[in-house]
Amino acid sequence: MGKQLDLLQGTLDMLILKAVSLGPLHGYGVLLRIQQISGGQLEIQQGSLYPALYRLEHQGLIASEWGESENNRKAKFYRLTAPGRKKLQAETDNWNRMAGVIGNILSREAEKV
Amino acid sequence: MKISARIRSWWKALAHRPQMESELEAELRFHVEAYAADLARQGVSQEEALRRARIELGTVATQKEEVRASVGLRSWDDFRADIRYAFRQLRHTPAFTVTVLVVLALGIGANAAMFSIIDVTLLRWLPYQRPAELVSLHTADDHDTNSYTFYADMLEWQNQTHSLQSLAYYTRIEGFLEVKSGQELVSAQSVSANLFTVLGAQPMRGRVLLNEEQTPGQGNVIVLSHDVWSHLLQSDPDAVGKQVKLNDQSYTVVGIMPPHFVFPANEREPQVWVPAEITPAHLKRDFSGPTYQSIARMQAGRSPDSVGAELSGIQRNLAPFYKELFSDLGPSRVKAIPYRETLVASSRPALLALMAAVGMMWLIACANVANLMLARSMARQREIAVRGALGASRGRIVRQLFTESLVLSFLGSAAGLGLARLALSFFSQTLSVRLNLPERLAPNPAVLGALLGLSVVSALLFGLLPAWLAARISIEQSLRQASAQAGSSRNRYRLQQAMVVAEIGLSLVLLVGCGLMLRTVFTLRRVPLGFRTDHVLVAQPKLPRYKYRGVDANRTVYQPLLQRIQQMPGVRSASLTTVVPLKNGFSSVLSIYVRAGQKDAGKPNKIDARLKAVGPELQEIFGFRMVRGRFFNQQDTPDSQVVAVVNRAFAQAYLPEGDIMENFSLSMGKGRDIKIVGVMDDFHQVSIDQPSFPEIDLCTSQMRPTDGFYQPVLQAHVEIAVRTQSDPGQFIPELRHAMLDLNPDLQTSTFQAMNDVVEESMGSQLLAAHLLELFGVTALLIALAGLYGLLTYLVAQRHRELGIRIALGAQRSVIMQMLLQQAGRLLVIGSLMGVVLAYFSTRLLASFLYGVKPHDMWTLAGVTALLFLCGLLASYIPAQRASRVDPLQALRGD
Repeated sequence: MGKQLDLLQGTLDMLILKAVSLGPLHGYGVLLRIQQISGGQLEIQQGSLYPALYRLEHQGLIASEWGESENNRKAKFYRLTAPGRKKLQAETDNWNRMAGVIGNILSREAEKV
Repeated sequence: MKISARIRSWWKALAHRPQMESELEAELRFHVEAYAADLARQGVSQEEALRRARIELGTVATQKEEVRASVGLRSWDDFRADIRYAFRQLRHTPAFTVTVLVVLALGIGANAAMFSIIDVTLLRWLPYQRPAELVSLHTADDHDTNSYTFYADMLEWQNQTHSLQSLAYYTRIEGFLEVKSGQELVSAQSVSANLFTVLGAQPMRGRVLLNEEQTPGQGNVIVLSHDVWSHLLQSDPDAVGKQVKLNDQSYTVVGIMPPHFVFPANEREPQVWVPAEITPAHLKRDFSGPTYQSIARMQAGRSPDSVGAELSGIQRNLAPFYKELFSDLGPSRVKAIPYRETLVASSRPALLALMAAVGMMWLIACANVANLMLARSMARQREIAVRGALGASRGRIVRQLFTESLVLSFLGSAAGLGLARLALSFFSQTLSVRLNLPERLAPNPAVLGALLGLSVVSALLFGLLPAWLAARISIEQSLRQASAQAGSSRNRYRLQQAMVVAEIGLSLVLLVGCGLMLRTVFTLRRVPLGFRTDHVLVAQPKLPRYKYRGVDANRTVYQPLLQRIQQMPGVRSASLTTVVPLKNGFSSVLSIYVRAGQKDAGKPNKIDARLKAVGPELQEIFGFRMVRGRFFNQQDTPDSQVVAVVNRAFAQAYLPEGDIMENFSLSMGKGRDIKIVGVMDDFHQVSIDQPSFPEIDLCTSQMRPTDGFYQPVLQAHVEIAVRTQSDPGQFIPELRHAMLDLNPDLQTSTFQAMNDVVEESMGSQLLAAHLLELFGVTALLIALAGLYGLLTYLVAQRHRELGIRIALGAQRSVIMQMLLQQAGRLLVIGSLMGVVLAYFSTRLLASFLYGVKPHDMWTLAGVTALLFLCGLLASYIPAQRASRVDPLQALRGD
């Protein structure tokens, strides 16, 4: 595991949407998946997980329902909704565009005026 | 989609909080166990795993709070917590809470009552379409006095106008509706068929009137109001199409109006509408047809003034038609007044004055409560400091203190509303007559909404500033010691002083108003009436006119009735008269030109005088004096010379100087000349505060049905004045019985003792005086309480300083003087402010006053002195307490 990158505020929502887009998960599962797909580079602060989940549900981007976990325990599963999918796509495009622009700026050499 | 998701989660968080919380708890539990299991798999012990998992996640309580905040409910949660806390705090200080609630209830309650009244009068909801477009049309003559509206003129207006959409007319006729139990008196209107269309009103059942129904022979149809249908016909579902009898004539019911529909809008009796029959006589410009009142709908964008100007132009061309009959008293111009204004015009000054008085009471109440809040916040300094130390931001503290003010304000409003309903029911009878209100005066949603707004504004006024000041204190210093700080407390003290000064000033204004009204009533009661009122009774016989059309009621009913009454035991004398003095119900005005031969230089050549017919016994009943000549007596018969008696005002205005009364004669047509034989002393005809008009009286026993004056003085309106041996009030049932015995058609006659007639004529002033007494005294008590509270607080604050002074040798009397001086200073400043304010606001009372000017110096001085005295009295106890401070205790204690 490399050094943990600091998570920008607001990107947590995006990561949760991505995690859930790959299939319905319960809260702990979201945590694990983000860890997994980031290749172990990202670990979420657990205290801010559930407020974020409830906020996203409040905004209608994910929906929840009670189900059974792997070991037959009751757990609340979250899945992506259609507006959520749209938002994820929009955020992804935004991020990529932003990354491109910043990357461009940072890679500029000193120029003659 | 997003909104519905938001609403759903809000609803869940708000309404199903326990469910949401238990769900969250389950979720967190699962999370902790799953995490702990993972840790355990990595080799950590079960206990250690659980511990670490819990620490990572954070406490359940924190999670709950965070989740609720993320859903957007933090403010709501805070608000609820604040309210709970506010209630708890208020419960801990019952004296403060009760005082504030009482003061607010008084201040806001008066406003609630006022809102109800205004809602019903000035903002009256009219059951018509776009009522702002409706105007009432009035004609006036060249002298700008009101004139008559004739049908022929209305036709011309309708034909030539470009500024009106439509025009309708109406007039009130007698309405005796036959129901199972006998006859009921309703308000019957004879209207044009298009009236309902002009008003934009739809019937609930059936239809409205048709144009054809105004032609003679086809007009036996009637439209009923909902009141009449539900109360008098028991909501008969088949009423439409049935026959009813109105004034002994059969009418077919064609329509029933919905509930709440009234026209004219200021009537309180149940109404019915019949078509106005138009005959050729209507086209004659004289009194062969009835005259109407008209209401019209303006074209969009027009103003009443422009409508009036256009119609006046049309009317000017028609004025020549009236020259012969009316000379220059015919209708020559037209005024258009918005319909709503005509309903309240007369009571507008009263409403304005009431609003001002009530507004002042509210301000006084708010000032008082603000003071109390300030004092209280000082006492809670430590608590506030602790909260600040625990991390509350200034805004949060202000919000919490302000919530307390809101809670107090709403509770006070609720109490005030209850008080208002009580007061309204207490005063409703007098108010509805004086201000012409409908019977029901209950607060409705609009009023409640206004009250809500007022509560919030009140809370802002008395709560925000104290809260803000309280939050500004320095935390460290407050925690260190409990006594008042130098800087902030001076600000607060100055604010408190300002409040007390304001209260005193406003109370002064109300008291001055009260004083002026009391003096008015006092003066009115002392005015010599010019006639006796004790043991005098007035009966107004009322006959259904439709039964007695063409019958000379005077000969057939009133004269025999008079004779019967004169023979009753307990009656000293009785007489017929057109109208008794001070009864503001009827007057007949005579306007004639003086013939060339009798014109006297220096006297006007047109006589305007009130005309009355009186019986010869009237002087015995009322006991007025004759200045010259004689009154009527038994020698005046229908065959002898027709004589008249005038009052002093008439003599001064129209009779030539010197004693040549005998030569003055008026022609009554057909060779009957009237000679004036006496001049009587003036007495007030309409109200005590108005001077007497010139009046000329004829003798009832001399009048013949063929006389030109017969109709207006003996048929239009007649009253019987009776002088009794015993108490007139007790005699009324006997009299009523005798009258009904003689003629059952007199069922609707009314009776009143003369003393009551006099009291009623002063009714408006009496009501104003009573209300201002109430307001003034309440305001005074509140202001005095404020002063007392402030001084007590001051003494408590300066406890230590006073102790030092006394220890150093100050005399107790000097201490008292010091305190009284302080109080005196506040009183002086407050009174000065009040005097200036009173100068401007007593102008509102001007129309009610009699015998005293709005800026009367004596009243101002007297009230100020009274206020001063009361203020010093209120300050006496705190001053005494100051002088009794035990120096040892003050220096020792904290």
